[in-house]
Amino acid sequence: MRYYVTVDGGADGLWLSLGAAKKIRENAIANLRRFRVESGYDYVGLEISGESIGYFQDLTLEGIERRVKAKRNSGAGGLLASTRLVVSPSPVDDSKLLSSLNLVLALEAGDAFSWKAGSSNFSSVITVDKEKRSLKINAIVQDLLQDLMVANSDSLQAVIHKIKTHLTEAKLTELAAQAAGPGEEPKAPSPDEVEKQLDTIGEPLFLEAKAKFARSTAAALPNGSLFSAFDPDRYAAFSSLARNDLHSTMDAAAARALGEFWTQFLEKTFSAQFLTTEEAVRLVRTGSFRRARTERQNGEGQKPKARVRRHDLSEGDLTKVIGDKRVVTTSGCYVLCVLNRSTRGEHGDLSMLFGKSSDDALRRLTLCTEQRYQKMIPLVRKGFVTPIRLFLKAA
Amino acid sequence: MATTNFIGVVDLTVRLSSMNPLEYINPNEASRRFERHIISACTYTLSASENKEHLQSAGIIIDGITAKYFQFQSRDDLISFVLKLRSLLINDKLPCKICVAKGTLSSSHLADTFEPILRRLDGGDDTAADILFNELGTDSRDEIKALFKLYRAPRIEENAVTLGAQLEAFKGFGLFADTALVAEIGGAQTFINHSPRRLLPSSRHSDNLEYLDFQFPGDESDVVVKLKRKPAEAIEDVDDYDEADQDDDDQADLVGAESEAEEIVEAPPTGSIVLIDDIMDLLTRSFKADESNGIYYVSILTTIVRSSHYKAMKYLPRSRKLDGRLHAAGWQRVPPIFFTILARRPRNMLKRISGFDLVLGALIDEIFSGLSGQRASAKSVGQDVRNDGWNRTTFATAIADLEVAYGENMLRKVLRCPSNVLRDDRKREVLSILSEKK
Repeated sequence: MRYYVTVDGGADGLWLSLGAAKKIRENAIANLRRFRVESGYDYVGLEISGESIGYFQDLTLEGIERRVKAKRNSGAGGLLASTRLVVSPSPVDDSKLLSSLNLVLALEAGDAFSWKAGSSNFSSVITVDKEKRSLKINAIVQDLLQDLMVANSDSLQAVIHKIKTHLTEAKLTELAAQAAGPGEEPKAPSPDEVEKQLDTIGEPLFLEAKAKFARSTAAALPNGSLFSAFDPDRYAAFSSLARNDLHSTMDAAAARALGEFWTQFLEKTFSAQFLTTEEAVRLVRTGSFRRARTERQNGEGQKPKARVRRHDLSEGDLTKVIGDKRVVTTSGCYVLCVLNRSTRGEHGDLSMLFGKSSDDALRRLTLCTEQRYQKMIPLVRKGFVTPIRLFLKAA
Repeated sequence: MATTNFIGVVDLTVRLSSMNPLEYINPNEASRRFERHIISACTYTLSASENKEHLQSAGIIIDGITAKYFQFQSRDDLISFVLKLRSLLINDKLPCKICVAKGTLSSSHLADTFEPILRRLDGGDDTAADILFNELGTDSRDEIKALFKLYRAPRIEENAVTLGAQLEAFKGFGLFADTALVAEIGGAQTFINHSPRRLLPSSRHSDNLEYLDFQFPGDESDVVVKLKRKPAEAIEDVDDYDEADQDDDDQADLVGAESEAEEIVEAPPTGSIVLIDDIMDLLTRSFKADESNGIYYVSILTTIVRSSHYKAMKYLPRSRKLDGRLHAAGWQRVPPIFFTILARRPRNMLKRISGFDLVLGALIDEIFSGLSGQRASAKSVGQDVRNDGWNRTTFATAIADLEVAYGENMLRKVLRCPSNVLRDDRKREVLSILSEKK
């Protein structure tokens, strides 16, 4: 899921060159760095690799994969499987969409460009007028990259995986019920089978639910959003939903909205699939979380490369904090805040927010609700605290 | 072959050691990539062409080991081929030059040409022996046969030699088409470009080679917008602001005191920024190797200048609200090349490029024609309507900024540009702006 293929065609040179894509990625990461502080959501960078395929008619995904492979000599397998985006001015024939392909953006020659997303039965169209082509392509690609980077973060992936499993299971059970004759007891799908169908059944269903949520939200937004300008059918990038201006990058309001959309979407639709305390503890101990990057101003803050030291977070402490019934009253989104350094002597706000243990040292962990996290933001910005988003199920 | 109308040649300038200091680009690798791009351009042209059969029978690349000679019958094929090739090569950061002219290329080999004469010799024609002796330096049958075997390279005709000489003389980066071709391939996308030439290696003087060039496909939205972002704490106020003057954007409220905590952000990069970055990167490297290499980049910079849009450019003395967004003070909606030329870092290098006055001249010309709606001086087609309400203040500000950046001497040099870079009435306008300041 880390590649990005540029398909070239058309007389106007490349629609989106590798250099441009990398620049957009830098932009997206710069935005997300701020977003991380603002909302506590983490992100995982995407690897960008572009390949200009050359002009050919009847562009099919198989054809693209063959050409890309031939140019890279990358031997057998899996390049397109990890591709998230194909940009092409000529329509891509997706009748043979590879089942493992997750996302395709196809730009069609002419005034409109189409956007194809997801697996086999899954595609949607975004229209872009020719005058603002480069601006719009840049905007949509940036939103898409941002969305993927946020969705790739460990804490969201943990939930999304559970959701996809749930959706696949439900679908397979339904199919089995249809296949079974009347009176027969439908067979429950085996876990292996579910695992195998995750990307083909679960992913499209999940993305569809996301698009549905985005459409209803976009209709309710007072100032409109880029999302309604693009009008995608079945895929939604929440970052286009969060901003309403082609020109502007993500500002603080958009960053806040992006976080809220993810939270609202998951809480509204899938709160039954949130993590149990044990799962959340495992996630914190094994997942990798980016240290909130400090904005070093006036010599304040820590060195940017400092890492989160999680191995010294004991399981007992984590279970106690994450399973705290006084905080986790409903299933929903919480932010686990981890103190980054031993702060004997750092008092004030920190001791107020984290509390002290019996030996007068500051506690390292605290679980915040959405409102309480707002108070934490200045500390995150200074680099004292690393936030980890957790979607928790109330016991 | 008699039907062929257009011929051209393309070569990489990275092969010149001075353009490729420290072998930043590996020449072997570059040749391979060059080959690949030519093949892509050929297949592209073939699939886009209307006369496929002819292209298939006549071929596109007629000769080429290092330099590639190509030929076309139709103008559209030629244009689609060279534009595609240029975009592919520049995208791959391979400095190249492409020359286009009118004429035919012979694809015959030595044997094809002299076989009939050899047959005449067999038939007992004595003049044939003289011709062979004059042309090949021998009339021995065995030696000639051996020569045919040894010398298989296509015979280079006069056209090809002239074209080769043009390629050699063209100190530029990009496309070169003889101005004689204006009638045939001229159009809205073409303009007259200049390539500076030093008369003597030691001479400070240079003259300019006039030629036809093609614009890059322009995108009107390809402009830089700088927005001002309030720090996170102040967000609430900005929101209130939004609602307050959503309806009267034109009134453009001035926003007072600029605090240092405010952050200026640029809109996402659009089309030509990456292109400019690549070109500036190449330029920096070649310039470090030898300052005189800068001359190669005058043509490509001019092409970028001429391919950009200046219509919407605007100078904001203070940051203010437009279209519901807070724009930072300074230049707004200007093409990225304008910022690049004004920026401090490349400026000191650009200043020392001989012939850079041509780029500045083109920039001033384009700004003038963009703001006034008149035709650019370098273009043969286009409307020429005098827009009475044109924004002279904006133009004057741009000139003033360029003067601050490049100094009075450079602007004076700009005024000496040929009139198809900057028309004389525009020069007078510039002059009057410069004298007003004093």
